[in-house]
Amino acid sequence: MFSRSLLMAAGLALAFAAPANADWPEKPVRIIVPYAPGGSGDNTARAYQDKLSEKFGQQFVIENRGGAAGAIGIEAASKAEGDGYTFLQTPMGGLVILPHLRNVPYDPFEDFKPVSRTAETVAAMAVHPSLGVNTVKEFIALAKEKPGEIFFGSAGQGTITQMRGEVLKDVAGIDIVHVPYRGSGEALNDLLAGHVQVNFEGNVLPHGKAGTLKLLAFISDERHPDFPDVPTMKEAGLENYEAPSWHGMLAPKGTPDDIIKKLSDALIEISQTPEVKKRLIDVGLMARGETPEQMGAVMKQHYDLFGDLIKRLDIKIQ
Amino acid sequence: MQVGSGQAGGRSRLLSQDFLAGLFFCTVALVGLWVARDYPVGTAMRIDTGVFPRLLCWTLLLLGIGILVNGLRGSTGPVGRLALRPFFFVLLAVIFFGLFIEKLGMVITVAGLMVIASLGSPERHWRVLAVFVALVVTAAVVIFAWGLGLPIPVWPV
Amino acid sequence: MDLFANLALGFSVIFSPTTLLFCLVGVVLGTAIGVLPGLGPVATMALLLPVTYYLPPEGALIMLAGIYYGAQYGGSTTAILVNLPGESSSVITCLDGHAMAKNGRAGAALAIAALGSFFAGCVATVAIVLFAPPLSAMAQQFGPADYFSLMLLGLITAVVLARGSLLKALAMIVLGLLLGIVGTDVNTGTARYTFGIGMLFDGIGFVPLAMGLFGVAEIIHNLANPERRDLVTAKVKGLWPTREDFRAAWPAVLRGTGLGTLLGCLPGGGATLSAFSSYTLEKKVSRYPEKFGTGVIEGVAAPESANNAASQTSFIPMLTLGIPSNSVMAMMIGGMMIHGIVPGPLVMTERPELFWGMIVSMWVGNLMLLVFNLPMIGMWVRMLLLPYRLLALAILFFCCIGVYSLNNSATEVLFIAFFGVVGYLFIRLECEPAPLLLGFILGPLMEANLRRALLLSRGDPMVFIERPISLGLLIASAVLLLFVILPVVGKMRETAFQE
Repeated sequence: MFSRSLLMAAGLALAFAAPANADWPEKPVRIIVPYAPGGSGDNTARAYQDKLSEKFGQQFVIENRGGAAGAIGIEAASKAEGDGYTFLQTPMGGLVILPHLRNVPYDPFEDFKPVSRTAETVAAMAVHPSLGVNTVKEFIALAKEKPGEIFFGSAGQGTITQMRGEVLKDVAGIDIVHVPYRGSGEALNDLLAGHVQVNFEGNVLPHGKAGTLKLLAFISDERHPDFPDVPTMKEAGLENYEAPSWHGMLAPKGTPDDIIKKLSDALIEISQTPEVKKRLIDVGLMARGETPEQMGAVMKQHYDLFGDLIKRLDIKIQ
Repeated sequence: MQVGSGQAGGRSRLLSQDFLAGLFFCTVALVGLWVARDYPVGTAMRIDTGVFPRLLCWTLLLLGIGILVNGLRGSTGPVGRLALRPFFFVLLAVIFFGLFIEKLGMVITVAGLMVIASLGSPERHWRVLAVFVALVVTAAVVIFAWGLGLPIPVWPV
Repeated sequence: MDLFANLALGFSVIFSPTTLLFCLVGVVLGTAIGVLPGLGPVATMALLLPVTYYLPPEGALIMLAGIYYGAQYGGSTTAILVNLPGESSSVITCLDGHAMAKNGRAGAALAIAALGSFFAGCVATVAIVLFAPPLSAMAQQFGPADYFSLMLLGLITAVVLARGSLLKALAMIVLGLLLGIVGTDVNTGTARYTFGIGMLFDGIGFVPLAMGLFGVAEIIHNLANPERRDLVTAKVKGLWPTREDFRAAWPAVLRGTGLGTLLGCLPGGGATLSAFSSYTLEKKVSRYPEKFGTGVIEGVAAPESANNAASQTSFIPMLTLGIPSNSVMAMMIGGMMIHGIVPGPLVMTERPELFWGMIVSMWVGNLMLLVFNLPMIGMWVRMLLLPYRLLALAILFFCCIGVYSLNNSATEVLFIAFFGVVGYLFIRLECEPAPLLLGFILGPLMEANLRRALLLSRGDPMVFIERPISLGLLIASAVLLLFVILPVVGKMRETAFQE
């Protein structure tokens, strides 16, 4: 007991020996987004940006550095000073999928410290009405009857939109053919026209509502509030289906832990405000906030998940 | 029938525009073929990454040879002198801008760009140049750094 | 009728003072950045996107749209005056437009470009109002095989528009195709010809390429030739087109508008293809094709009308289906998403004020642009009289800053220098850059569509002949190719005969 109060006293003394970063931030903070404005990751960053600036009384400025599926911006952030004035806000693809497919000039675990995940992507499995299926099970049955004859579109080789389809192939044991496009817009166009028959994307939701496409299932843990009749993949019978997709904030290694904690707490708080929630759900994202440790664990778990999938299905780009 | 300046002597045929152009295309084609040597070709029905580069390089090579031969047959006149002075200074100016814009900031890089490029022309009107450079630099800072909010530093970092 | 009610709604939206103001700001800003070489609508929209969050959605989107077609107007100005294409669709305008400027007819060229664009914009807006759903459905009929055949036809038109040696034009096209291949291969994700340079993963940017090949190379060349130093070699002959000009131009405007309206609806088709093909069409139907390239008014009227019509109709896939036909539309979608409006087929019914407000604003914006640009012609022409050695410096600056602002990338600025060297080489070797640029744009699309078509047909090459649209386009390509080759073969036969 005596030693416990000694420890407590020591702890209090240390706490009062003010960490050097009690006044952070003292000048504008840079958030690097490795995609062009208006694209994925950018919306998330901007949803949090105003609230962060408000909360800390300093401008949080977004710097877009698009290119190479996120690699360019992530590399730039990895080389930044860990002084607490530069952060990275990115969709997870560049961190947990890309490194398995290509040599990237950064290490997602060595070069960065996680801060918090900020959003989860909402995506659905959408089919062209001409297929004539209404549930995932019917789709799987059809795919087994016609191996190699059903095509699924994606936003590009190595993107999560492809991975979602690959996971389905793996879990359901079917042979559907991947057709890569340059971006989600192109893929959607060909799905609407019926040139490909299924996509696993977020931009299909308005078409689900309008009836131009049929949504078979949501790739998430919960049903989407606007589509109460559409089940999740697990509810549709595929318990092993896992294809997570999120956005998160990271700091260059060397950033002091107390700054990271401050930022993380702020993000958790902001992610629960109704305005940010609404702003994100409007563009197909669900706000999330968590501690650095939680994010670190999830990041490792997903890194291994995709690494395993890619190796098993022999997906490659040289 | 001959297009361009008439019959040229042996040596200037080597310097003829078509000969040099043909040489240029052939070189690019050969380099392209060499870089693409490892790209997989796949099958005729599942065309893989290497097919188009190879196809194009071979076509370019053939066209290049055709143009080269035309040049040797005297189809065009000789290429004139290369204007070394503007060539050198304009390029230096652009490279200077590219290398230093993020470190030295807009004012110095833009002024540098314009001053270096101006050395490409033999005329010297320092005062007019100075005023013009000042104008453009001010406009640049106002429009790009303040107005549009580009993350370019105005002064050296 | 429903249509009138919708139009009335649209008018009520646009004619509120704040929205009108946003429209005006958009078109003026668009013209300004269109004029500045290098800085284009995509970069500007990217910069303004965050600001638009604080504006009302209709105002924001109308402003962004105004920037886009305003930039088309402005881009013609630089193309004509200083031979610099701001957008890929202005490349064609450089050919005869700049030639006219050198003949002292810059005013006429600028005026016809503005008037033709306005006419095309109006027609295209009417087309959207009346025919958006059927045009959209027609665009959906185009599968990868059809796109491939369309691009092939487009590529052959590149041969037609070349003036000099056929072999060199072909070589430039092939070189352009090769440059277009640099980057990641869509179908496999493999990087080709990137030499490990990160910025090349997404391919060579059109802007650095064009700024180097056209801008820097021209500047070097002009600085070297004291006689060519002044951009206007003949005396400025009046600012307005003559009656003959109008007579020659109006059929070109009609043809260009038609072509542009149709091609603009195709995602991936767009303004560039329309501009190039309308120029080729004019050259083919003209009574004096050999004069094209020396300053023929149809060579300005047709592509300008085509590219403006196409930029309007390219809104159709975005407004009706939420599909971006080009990177500008992708920005517009970003703008909508920032306001929580998810683009898709329901926008027309759930947010009619937005949909119809935007459409009506296109007409109003075009009118504003016409009124704004015509009087400026005098100012622009006078600007040409600035001593070239100073003008060149400003142009150089804008090229550099424009390229930098696209991606905050200094590497791309260095690319300009590289392409400047190559471009200067081309000028000395008399190789025309326009066919190269067309090859550059069409090449990767052709390859991606070819491979995708074969993938979807499970390896069956007959798909190109079985699909009616593709078949039609392939036949047209063959015919056009014959038109191009026959005269050359005929001339060769003649000379062989003579000798």
